[in-house]
Amino acid sequence: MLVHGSRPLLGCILATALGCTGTVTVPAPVQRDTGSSGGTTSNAAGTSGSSGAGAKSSGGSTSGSSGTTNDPTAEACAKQTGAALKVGRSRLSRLTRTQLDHTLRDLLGVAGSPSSALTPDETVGPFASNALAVVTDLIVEQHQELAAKVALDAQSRRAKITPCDLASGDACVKTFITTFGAKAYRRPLLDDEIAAYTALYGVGGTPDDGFRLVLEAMLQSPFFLYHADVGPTGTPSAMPVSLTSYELASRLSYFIWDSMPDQALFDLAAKDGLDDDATLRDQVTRMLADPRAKDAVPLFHLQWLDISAAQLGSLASAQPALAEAMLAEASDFSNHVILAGDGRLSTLFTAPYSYPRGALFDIYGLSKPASFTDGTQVMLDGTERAGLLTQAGFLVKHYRGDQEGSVVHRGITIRENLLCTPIDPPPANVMATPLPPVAGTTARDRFAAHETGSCAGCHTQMDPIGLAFENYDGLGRYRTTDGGVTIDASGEIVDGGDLTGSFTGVVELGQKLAQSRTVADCAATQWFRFALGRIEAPDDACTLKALHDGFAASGYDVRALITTLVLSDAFRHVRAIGTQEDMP
Amino acid sequence: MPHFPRRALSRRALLKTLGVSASLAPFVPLLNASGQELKRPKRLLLVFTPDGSADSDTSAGPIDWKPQGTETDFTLHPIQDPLTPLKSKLIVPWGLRMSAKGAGEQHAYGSAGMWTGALLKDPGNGADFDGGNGHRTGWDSGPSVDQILAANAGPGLPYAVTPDAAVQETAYRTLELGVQCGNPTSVTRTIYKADDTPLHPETDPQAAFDRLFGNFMPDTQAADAAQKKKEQQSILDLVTADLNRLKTRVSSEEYPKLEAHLTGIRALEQRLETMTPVANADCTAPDRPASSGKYANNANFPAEVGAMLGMIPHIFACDLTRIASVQLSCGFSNVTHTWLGHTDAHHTMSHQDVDNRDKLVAIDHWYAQQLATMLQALDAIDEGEGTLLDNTLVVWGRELGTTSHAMQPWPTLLAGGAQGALRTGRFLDVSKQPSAQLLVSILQAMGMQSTTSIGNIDMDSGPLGGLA
Repeated sequence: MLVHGSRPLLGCILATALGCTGTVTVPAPVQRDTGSSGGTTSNAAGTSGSSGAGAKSSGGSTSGSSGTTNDPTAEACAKQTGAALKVGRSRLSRLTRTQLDHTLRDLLGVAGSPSSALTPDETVGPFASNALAVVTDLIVEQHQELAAKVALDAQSRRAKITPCDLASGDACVKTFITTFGAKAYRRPLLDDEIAAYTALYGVGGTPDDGFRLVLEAMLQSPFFLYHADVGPTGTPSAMPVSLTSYELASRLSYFIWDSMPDQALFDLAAKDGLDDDATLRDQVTRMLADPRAKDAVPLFHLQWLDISAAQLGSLASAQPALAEAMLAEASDFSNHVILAGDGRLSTLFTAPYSYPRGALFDIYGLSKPASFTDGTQVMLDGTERAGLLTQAGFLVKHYRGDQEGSVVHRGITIRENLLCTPIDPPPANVMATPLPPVAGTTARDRFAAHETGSCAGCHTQMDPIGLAFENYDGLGRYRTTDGGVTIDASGEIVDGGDLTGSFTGVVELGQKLAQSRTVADCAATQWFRFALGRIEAPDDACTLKALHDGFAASGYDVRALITTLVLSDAFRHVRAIGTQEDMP
Repeated sequence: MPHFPRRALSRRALLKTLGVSASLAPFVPLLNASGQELKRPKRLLLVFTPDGSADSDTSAGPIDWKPQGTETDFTLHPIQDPLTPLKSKLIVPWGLRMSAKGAGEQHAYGSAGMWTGALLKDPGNGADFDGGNGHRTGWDSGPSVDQILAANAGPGLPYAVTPDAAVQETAYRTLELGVQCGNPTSVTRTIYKADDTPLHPETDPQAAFDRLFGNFMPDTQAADAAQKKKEQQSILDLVTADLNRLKTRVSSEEYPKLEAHLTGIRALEQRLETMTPVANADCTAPDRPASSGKYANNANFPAEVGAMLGMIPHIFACDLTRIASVQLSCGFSNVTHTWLGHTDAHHTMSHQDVDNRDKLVAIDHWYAQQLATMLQALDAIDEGEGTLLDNTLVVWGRELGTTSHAMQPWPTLLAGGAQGALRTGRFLDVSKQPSAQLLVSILQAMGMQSTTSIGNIDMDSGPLGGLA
């Protein structure tokens, strides 16, 4: 376990091991954000036995993924053809903070983000997930405190929450426990569960207190706090089995809404009505049109690009309004493109408009229209800005205080999160400290050291991408000079499959990404990880192939991708028991 | 002479027995079953502050943390100057080499190893974190010194009863507190219950206050208290039943999560059975601090540090726990000490190619001031045979030796002495000795006399010579 030998030996390791090491002051990434594992993996489902990092073994491949001969996903799927259905392992997963907030909102009308009292979520790939997170005494107590607070607050809204007057007697108490419990547990309660809650209600002594105790316990129950999919037998299986209707309803709602199912989904689940493709398609369409989709779509895009709120770091504390504006812009933009616009992946990288608000107008050098209200679309200078990568949120989040770190970090983020081709770590003995800015030089000059010798193996994969971002400063403002020298924003993608080649500036990079099958395959893979809260496993190869092919067939319409994902084997089945292959 | 309620006999119950009202309470010594006055418990406090001592990347040589003088006649390093009034209660073991190694780079394995003496693991079991400069890591491979101590019980130790006993001596076996510690990764966590099992600190001072002192009202109606306890026990029974039923539905691979959840529920149950301290002259609640809010706010860092450290004397005086840790920021600290006039973050300044040593020293000096304030508060509480500080062992440590990532000399400092187990008022040159020896010495001083090894890096190191 203590060697790196489990990682694939990519060429860049071999190259760097020869001498990009030791004592020199090597410009290299300073701290990448420690609050996230970026685009690399947390090996959620357990992945290939030969790799410590699942993302490396799949997803958008580095080259030729549009064909079939060089596509490892297609090859892996082909090997599974004719065999029994294969699906990666699912883990018992505690609700994330946003899932809990949205669930409390939909279940009890709780406003705000009460879950900020909880220990932060862990991540799977770039996405928040507690599939692997250790449960501690503190986390259990935080859930207890949150449950007590929410239950106490809900007492004043009791009449709105209960279907009848609890004071009217036992019949109403049972009705309340049965109907409310089915929402909280996201499945009908068992008889002995109803009995247990009825007894607990009695401990309260009054309707108000009985109500409070029932809520307080339900909100601490593991059936509320965890996604515990196992299928209809109620026992874990080493073979993939269909989800129960209720489990599928929850998977759907937490994927598309980041929240619990609504009554329509519960009603369908109650009559086992989520089996057929047509119904699932209808539900996806209905759910994407629901305002709750506007919670999940930005969540995906912000986490995908690693610009989630808490990570705007010092900006968020120094200028919270500006940080909120950056998040709101990316949220409004992704919601518009995916839910109201053409839904195309390419539009995310090329749209010459955005949704700036507040101080972003100054940063973008735009004047605010006279009758502007937040959320209004604004046209940009398309030569300076187009798409998510030129928005302040991405630019600021991946800025690293000094230009050297930014070059590497922005390059790595593109490489890992958008191309699904993680960069291997530098050799263990590299002691990297960034080079200081020197008057009369640009980052490009200072980075020349990376472009020769053994460092080049890895750094040519990231630096030439990051250098194309030099037109943007630490606040995302467009600039043409750095250190008094005119910026050369030419960039290059090396060993990037259909992306390989040179370009100038981020607007052109966006156009390049928009046309790439590699990026599209990677995006589909990232949606898989987001939807299922786990990294793809070898057993998911055919689901991934279906996603990649279906996305292409739709002209890269993300809404179609979401539907394909919901209809996929991995989404509709669960395998709860790991196999030898799943073992880390 | 000090006194306050704990264990089986609360102050209130005792006063009732004696037939006096709390407001008129005279000195009442704490007695054991045989009528002998109980000795105050030993306490342990670990304090983490980020990064190493300043040496920058210039050729000017390091700021080395080293006191000047002889073992018993010395002057503290200027960084530690705020602690000078407490010099007789300090030990500065200078020159230790950190028993910290493993995956990632030094910020990562330093954070993981500083209190554990155990290797930071490679990615695996789903844990995969950036350990600096793109190096990947998992979690640490062993428990930290505070958790090792907490797992033990017996004469001379902080606790007499084992962790699984239904009735505990304190509300919390251990407390993990922190300020702006970041999301859970290997470079932001320092306390481990076991291999692969980090313990996250509570980082909201208000949440910590509410949890610890929120019910700190004198003489709640006894009937209410009984009803409240019955309610909570009923809820916990139901949740326990659900956890056990869920356990029958999931793969055995998920048992650790559910067992940890059950352990958490069990801790809540133990708390119901444990006497709640009652406010009195010796045990008071601090002021309720502001909440840290949804996102870490750099500007609030000093206030949050003050609130968390300020809570510690109250926590110990009220016997809410006997083993605690406070983690201020984390590895790769991105705290910008604007209140010292700085414009760049701590870690950023540690690697700039300008001589930032004055600024880095100012940061360390600021942390020393915060620590000094807390130590003086501990020392102001008289516990009879000594002060609360005398009954405590406070250990200050950091995740690096120096800002340029040397793991030696480790800037560390001890205060208190754990009821005389360690001879204080000394400067010890222990250059290049492994920090595992210090960790072993901590365990021995806290009552685990037969312990001679910790972690898996410098195993069987024995204690640090000359410390006891």
